[in-house]
Amino acid sequence: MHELGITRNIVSIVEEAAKGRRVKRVTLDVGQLAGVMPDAIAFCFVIFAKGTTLEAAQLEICRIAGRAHCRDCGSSFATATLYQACTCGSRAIDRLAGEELKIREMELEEVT
Amino acid sequence: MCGTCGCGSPSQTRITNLQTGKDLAMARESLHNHDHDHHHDQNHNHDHDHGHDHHHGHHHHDEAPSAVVTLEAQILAKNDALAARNRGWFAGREILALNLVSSPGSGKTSLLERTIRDLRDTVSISVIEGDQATAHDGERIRAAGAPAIQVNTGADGHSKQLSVRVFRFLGRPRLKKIALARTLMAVMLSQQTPVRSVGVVFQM
Repeated sequence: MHELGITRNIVSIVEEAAKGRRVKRVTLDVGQLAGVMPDAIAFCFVIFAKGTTLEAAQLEICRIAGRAHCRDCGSSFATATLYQACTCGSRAIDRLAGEELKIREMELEEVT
Repeated sequence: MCGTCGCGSPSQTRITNLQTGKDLAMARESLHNHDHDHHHDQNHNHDHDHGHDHHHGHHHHDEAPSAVVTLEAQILAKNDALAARNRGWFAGREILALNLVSSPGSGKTSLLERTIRDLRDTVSISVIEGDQATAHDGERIRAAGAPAIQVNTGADGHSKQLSVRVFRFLGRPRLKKIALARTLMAVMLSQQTPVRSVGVVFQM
């Protein structure tokens, strides 16, 4: 999926959840192996946020490292790609982390 | 291109069964329903050691008081649900489905042609080939010996979320050691569910 569509989703989800309140910050979790370029999201964010309650929001993107567990030798290890083999040589791995693509939290202006 | 989810609009997409030359009708899916049913579920199961590399020095000493709201909203919730359904569909039919992605002209079709020739006797391989206009690559795949269908997306570019049928194929083969074939076999053998055939999807 393109970052364009993804970013539009982000703005839409946050705007609806914010219920009219001004959004000061949006924090995303983007895994290193999510197949998404954070720079492109940041670029699109500015465009899609215009005219919405996210207009002045700061976009914070947290990268999450890839991690997998080997079913054969039982070890957990960092992964740089989706189908990386274990150091023991096995490809029987369970992918634990690194593919996240979510909005963790948003910071809203308090209604006074 | 649909501005919401990035998929190609169905009206511009054609699917051709290269074996018969006939166009296949695209299944009507409720994919284009874009109201986001984002779920604020707090009990998700994939929270492991994250290895975050962000700096959280964010105490805004300035302006108006603010409230931090935890969302944990999956951005691609709908897409993820469809993907999970597809995976179940493949697993139920014991099909290993692979998506071959790289920039145009990098050699995907060539690599796949060779893999098909080498592995034809070992496993059934079927291919869904995507391109903007021509069936050229699809024809190469057929010439190599795997059934293929061609998806032409028109000017919209690549289209995802297609409902297609994967065909069986029986052919002649000689197992040779090339990188893709080796990796393919290794991945097949490591699957938790049995694999009887392989489906390969090309993207531009």
